[in-house]
Amino acid sequence: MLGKLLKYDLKANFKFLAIFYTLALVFAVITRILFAINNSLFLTILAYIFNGATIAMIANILINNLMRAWVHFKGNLYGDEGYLMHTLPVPRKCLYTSKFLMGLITLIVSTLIIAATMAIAWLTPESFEMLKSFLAPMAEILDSTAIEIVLLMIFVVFLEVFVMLISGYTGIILGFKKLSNRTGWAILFGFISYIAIQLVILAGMFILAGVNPEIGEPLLSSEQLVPDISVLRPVYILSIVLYFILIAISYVLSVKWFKKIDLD
Amino acid sequence: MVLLECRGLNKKYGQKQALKNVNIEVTAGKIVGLLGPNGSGKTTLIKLINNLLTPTSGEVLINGKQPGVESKSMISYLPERTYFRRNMSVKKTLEFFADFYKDFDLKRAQKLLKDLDLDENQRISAMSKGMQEKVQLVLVMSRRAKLYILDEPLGGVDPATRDYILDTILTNFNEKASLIISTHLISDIERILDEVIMINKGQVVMHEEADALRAKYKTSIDAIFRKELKNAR
Repeated sequence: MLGKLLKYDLKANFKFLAIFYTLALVFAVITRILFAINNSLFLTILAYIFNGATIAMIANILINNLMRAWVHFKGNLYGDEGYLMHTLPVPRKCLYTSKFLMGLITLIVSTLIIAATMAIAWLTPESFEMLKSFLAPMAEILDSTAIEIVLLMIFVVFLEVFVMLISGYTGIILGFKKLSNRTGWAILFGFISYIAIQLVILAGMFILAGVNPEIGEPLLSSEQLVPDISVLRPVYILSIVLYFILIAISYVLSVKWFKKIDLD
Repeated sequence: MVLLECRGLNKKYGQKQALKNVNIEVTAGKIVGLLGPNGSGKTTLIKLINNLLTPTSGEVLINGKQPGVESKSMISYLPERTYFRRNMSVKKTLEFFADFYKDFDLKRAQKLLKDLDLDENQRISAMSKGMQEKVQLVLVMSRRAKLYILDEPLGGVDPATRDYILDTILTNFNEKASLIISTHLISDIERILDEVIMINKGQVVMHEEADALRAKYKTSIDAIFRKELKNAR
């Protein structure tokens, strides 16, 4: 049953996001072509216009990924459609899990499309070399390659955006337990949920700073000390571990809170 | 065999008591009219049976079990609002039902849609509210469920279609199943009722067999309902 639910959830979301994916990729191709030709003032202006449009589409994909997931979650489970979804012979946990996985999958696809869009529009041998040389000191100290560093950064940003997405879900579940002004409460609870997760990660970093003087001293000293770049390794590892733990806790709590509902 | 049982069921919205100590039993093979004025608690009761609300106290048992996956596979529920994904076509909606309900009879649904002149390829968003309600009724009545719960099934349809709908309900529901039908259009459904549950201000004020009621008061259920309502005021 989870597979069937996920199929319908993904269809509903991708139908909408596909428009932005297509536009982003088309604008990226046009940008690339126009910058490659670049033989007149008109084409240069046009190239910069499409360059801006590509950037706007990338932002649109990210924003709409989040917004669409939240709107679908609310409409499908707490709107009129909720009367159908909550009377399907499937466990309530499945309904939430399907939305959780839908959020994860759409975010992975969006990340890949954004990466493809950026590569099409801006990746050249020169820009790649520039990125590599910029990241080279970090890569050397962390005993990895520039590509690995980029992938690691993308992964952490991905986890951060996913935390935003599921905080929204948690907010909707809690907000719709209230009798009135449910959307307002949902926004408030979503915000609180997100802040709570950030505070736990921040607390984790402070604890790490306490046990690791290489991180702690530059952070806590009144002198302007520059931390050694090698401290990034434990910081990244801790933040990724914390994100995973907090996402798991958020999932368990949301499933628990979702068991009892009161539809309008 | 008791198909539905509500024991000491209470529902409060904040300070407002929507249902107060509701105790009812519905046995298999009955068509039960759930009657009451607007805001009497009919829809709240139906939503509690369908696990769309959490009771403040008391319990609902369907075939002896608390609401859950098993009870949902037994109940075919028609809510008072349309619950479709509006961007889906009727055909896709049929597929959705066939995907999730093992007891969904696709051929029966297609026949009923044809009888009602409804186009399978039409998008839900392109249909009028009345047409959407008809499609929803077709979907609900095309399941071979143990308990059908219809909340105001006649509200949005024209009088000519009402008779067809009532006939559809009667011909499509098997004798071992039960049907709870909530409406204020009592005169329209009176002829098909076996039992009547009258509810007012969140309390069950009457639960009797339809024939016994008519014999007792020597009038129609519609007239009894109006009289009871007047007395309650």
